[in-house]
Amino acid sequence: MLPYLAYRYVKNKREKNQRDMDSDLDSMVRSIVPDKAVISIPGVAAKLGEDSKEYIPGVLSILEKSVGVFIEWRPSEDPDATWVMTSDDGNAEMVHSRSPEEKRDRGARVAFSMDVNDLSSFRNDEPKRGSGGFPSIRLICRDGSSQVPLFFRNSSTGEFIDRLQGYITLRRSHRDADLVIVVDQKSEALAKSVSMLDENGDILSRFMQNPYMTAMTGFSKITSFVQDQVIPSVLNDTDAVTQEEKIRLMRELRLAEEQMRVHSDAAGEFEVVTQLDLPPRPEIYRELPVSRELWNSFKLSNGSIDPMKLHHLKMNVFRGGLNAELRKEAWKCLLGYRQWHESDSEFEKRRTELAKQYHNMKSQWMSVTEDQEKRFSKFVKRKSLVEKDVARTDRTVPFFQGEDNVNLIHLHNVLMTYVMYNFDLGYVQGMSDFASPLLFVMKDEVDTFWCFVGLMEMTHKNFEKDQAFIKLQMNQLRDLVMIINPKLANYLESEKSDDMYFCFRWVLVWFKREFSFLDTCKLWEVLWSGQPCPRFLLLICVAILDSQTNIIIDNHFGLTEILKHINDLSMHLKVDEILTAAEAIFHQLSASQNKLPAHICQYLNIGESAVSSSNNSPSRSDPDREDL
Amino acid sequence: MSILISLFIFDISISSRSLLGFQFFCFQRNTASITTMSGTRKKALLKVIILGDSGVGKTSLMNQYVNRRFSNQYKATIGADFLTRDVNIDDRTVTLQIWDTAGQERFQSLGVAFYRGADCCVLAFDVTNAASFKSLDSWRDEFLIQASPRDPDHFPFVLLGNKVDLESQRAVSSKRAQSWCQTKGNIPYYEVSAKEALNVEAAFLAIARDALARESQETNDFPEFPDQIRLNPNQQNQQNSGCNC
Repeated sequence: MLPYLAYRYVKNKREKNQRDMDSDLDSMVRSIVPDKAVISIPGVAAKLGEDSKEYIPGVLSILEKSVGVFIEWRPSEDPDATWVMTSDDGNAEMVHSRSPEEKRDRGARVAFSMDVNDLSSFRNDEPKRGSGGFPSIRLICRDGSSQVPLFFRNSSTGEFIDRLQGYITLRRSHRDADLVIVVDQKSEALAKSVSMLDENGDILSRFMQNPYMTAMTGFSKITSFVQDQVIPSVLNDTDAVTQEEKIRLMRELRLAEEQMRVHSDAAGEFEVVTQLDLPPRPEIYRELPVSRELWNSFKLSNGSIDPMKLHHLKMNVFRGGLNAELRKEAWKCLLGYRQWHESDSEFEKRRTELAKQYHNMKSQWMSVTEDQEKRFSKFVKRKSLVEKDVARTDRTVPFFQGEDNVNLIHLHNVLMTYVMYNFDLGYVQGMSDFASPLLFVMKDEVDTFWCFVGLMEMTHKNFEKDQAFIKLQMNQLRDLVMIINPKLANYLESEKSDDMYFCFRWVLVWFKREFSFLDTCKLWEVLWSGQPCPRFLLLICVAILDSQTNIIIDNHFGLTEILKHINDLSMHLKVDEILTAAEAIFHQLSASQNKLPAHICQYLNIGESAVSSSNNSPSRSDPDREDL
Repeated sequence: MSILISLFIFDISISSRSLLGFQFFCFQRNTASITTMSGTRKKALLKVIILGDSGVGKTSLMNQYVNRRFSNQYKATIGADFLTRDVNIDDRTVTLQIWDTAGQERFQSLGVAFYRGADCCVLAFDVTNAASFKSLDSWRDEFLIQASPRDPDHFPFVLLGNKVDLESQRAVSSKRAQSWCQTKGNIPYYEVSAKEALNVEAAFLAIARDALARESQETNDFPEFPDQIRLNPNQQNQQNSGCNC
C-alpha cells in the first residue's frame, strides 16, 4: 500500500496547494517509493488472433506505483516457457516452431501497462461448460481501444476482479452479463440527481427536441416505424428509466402520435406503415466445406457445371465454403474467369487466348523506358503506388515473407498489368489486398490476373475517385442497422457516427484486414457465391455491429472511440459465427419482406422486385449496374 | 492553464442517456466543469493529424512515437486510426491523440469527421522521394478546406522529412524543405527517421508544446469561460444544435 498512499498524499497535496510543488513531490516520490504488486497472476496467456490458436504465456498484475494504479500484462520471462496451442476440444499442444527472438518480439508487441483510470470496461467470458476452454478477459479502454484477450489458464478471473474493485467500482451490464463496466461514482451520482430533477420536467417536449427524432419525423413514411420500433426498444433499456416513467412516456407518446398523424394527414404525405415485427433469428449452422468429390458431382461429362444444379452448387459454397485444395479450380468459376457453362476444352482454348492478351498488356508496361517515363507522369504515379504497396502487402504471410520473394514480383506484375487493362481506374490502395489471396491460391500470374479482373468487376466501384459507391453502401448499411437494431442506429446517430465511416475498411476491401488470410479466403468465396442475396457483405457488417451493441453503448463510446473499437476488432472476430449471424439476419429480413421499405428490398433483391439471380455470374447479378 | 476538454472527460456513465439525447448534452457541460473544478481528470487532449503521400511513413512515425517500435511489415493504411500517448509538459499531462490516415487523396473526404477539431496538422514527406515533397502544398490546402479550422492563417502545421537514414538516396535537401516552410509562415521543420527513431520523440514533443502554447493563447479569446475552460468550438456547436436547455 505504501506507494499508493504516497501517491494519494501527493495528489491531495496537489489539490490543496499550488501546483509549484507538484513536480518536486512527484519526482521525490518516484525516486523513493518502489512499485508494489498487489496481485500477480501467472499463467495468464495472451491470444494473438482469433484464428490463431497460439497463446503467449505471461503474468497479469495490478501494480501500485507512485503515479497511480496500473494493470499490467507481461510475457513470461522464462525463455523456455512453452507456447501453447489449444485445439477446439481443449487439448493443449506445445509450439516449438518459434525462435526465442520471435517469441520475445511477439510478446513485447502485445504487452501492456495501463492506468486503472483509463479502463472503461472489460469482457469477461467464461468457457462453455464441458468445452475445456479457459475463462478470459479483454480490457477495453476509454479511448475505445481494446487490449489483447487474456486467458486465465490456471485460475478463475475472480481474484483479479475482486482486487480491481479495490480501486474502481464495477458492475455487470444489464444487457450483457459478460460485459463488466467501470462505474464512475461521481458521474453516477450526478446522473441520479439530474434524473430526479427530470421527474418533474416535461420529458416529452424535450424528447421531441432530440435531433434524431426531429429528423425522423421529416421522413413521414417511417415515422410510425420509428415510434413502434425505435422508441420501445429505447425504452426497453432497463438502465434508463423507472417503470412509472416508462408508462407515462408511452402514454404521452401515443398522444403525440395522434397529433402528428392528424397534422401529417393534412399535409397529405403521411403513410401508415405497419409495425415492423421481425421474427426471431433462426438458428443457423455452417456446413462442411465443399469437397472435390461434391464439386465434381455437379459437373457434366464435358467438365461444365450442370446448369440445373448451379444454384444448388452456389448454395453449397455459401453454406460451407470450399476445401482449400478445390479453390484453384472453383475460384476461377466464382470470379467469372471461367464461365459455368464452359466445357474443359472450351475453357482451355479461351485460356490460351487470354494468356496471350495478358502477355501483350504486360509487355506494354514493361517496355516503357526511363526516358519515356519522364513524359508519362500518370504512368509513373501508378507505378510508384503499386511498388510501394506490393512491398507491404501481407508480408507476415509465409507466401510473401522474406526479401527477394519471387511472389512479390508476380503480384507486382499482375497489378501493373491491371493498370494497363484499366488505365483510367489505375491502381488504388486496397487493390493489392484483393490480389494477394488470388495469387496465393492460383500460384500463376495469368490465372491470377484474370481472376483479379473478375474480382474487380465486383469491386471496382469501391475505388472510383468520387467514392459515391462507398457512400451509397454506407447509407444502405445505416438503413439496415435501423431495421435490425434500432437502438444501435439511434445511438450512432446521437454520437454523430451514423455516416458509418467506421465501417469503411470493412466495405472497401471486403474484410481483408479484419480476418486472417485463410479466414478471408473463406469469407470471400461465400460472398462470391452471390447467395443468398446481393450485398450480403452489408449483412455481415450488420451482424458484427449488432454483436457490439452493448459494448458500444455501455461504454458510452463517442465518434472516435467507436472507430477505435471497430478497428481493434480486427483479427478477433470469429468468421463462422459472423456468417451464421448474417445469414440469420437475412432470413429475418426475408420473412418480413412485405413490410420492408422498398429500396431495401431492391438492393437485397428480395420480395416482389426480386429476380432470380441463380443463373447469373456474380458480376451480372450485381444490382448496382442499374443503380449507378 | 488552458484545457481542451477531451472526449475522455465525457466518459460519464449516465443512466438515462440513451433514452433522452437532450439530457446527455446537458450532462456533458455540467460534468465537464465539475470534473475540471475538482481537478481529477484534467488531462488536456491534443489531436494531431498526420497527412502526406502514400508510403512516406505516416504509420511508422506514429508507431515509433507511441510504441517505440519500427516494423517494415506495416500495411498500407485504409480508413483512419489513431494511437494515444501521454506526455508531460511543464508538469502537465497532455494526451496526444495521433491520427494516421490513408495516403491516397480519394479516401480523404470520408474521414473528415475525424479530422475536425484537430489541434495540429503534421505534414510528412519522404526525403528520398521528390514527388512526396511536391504534394505538400495540396495536402496543406486539402486539410484547410476539409478540417476548416477557425483561423486557417495561423493554424499550426509541422513538417516532417522522414527516412533521413537513407541519406545516400536523398532527393530533397534540408534547405529546400526549410525554404518551403518559410513561405508557409515559418512552419517548424524536423528531419526524422521512424526506422532509426531519429528525432521522432523530439519532433512530437515540440508539436505538443506548440499546440499547447497556442491553446493557452487562445484562452484569452474566450472570456465567456472565466475558469479558462475552452470547449472545442466544434463540440460546442454540436451541443448547442441539439439542446436548448
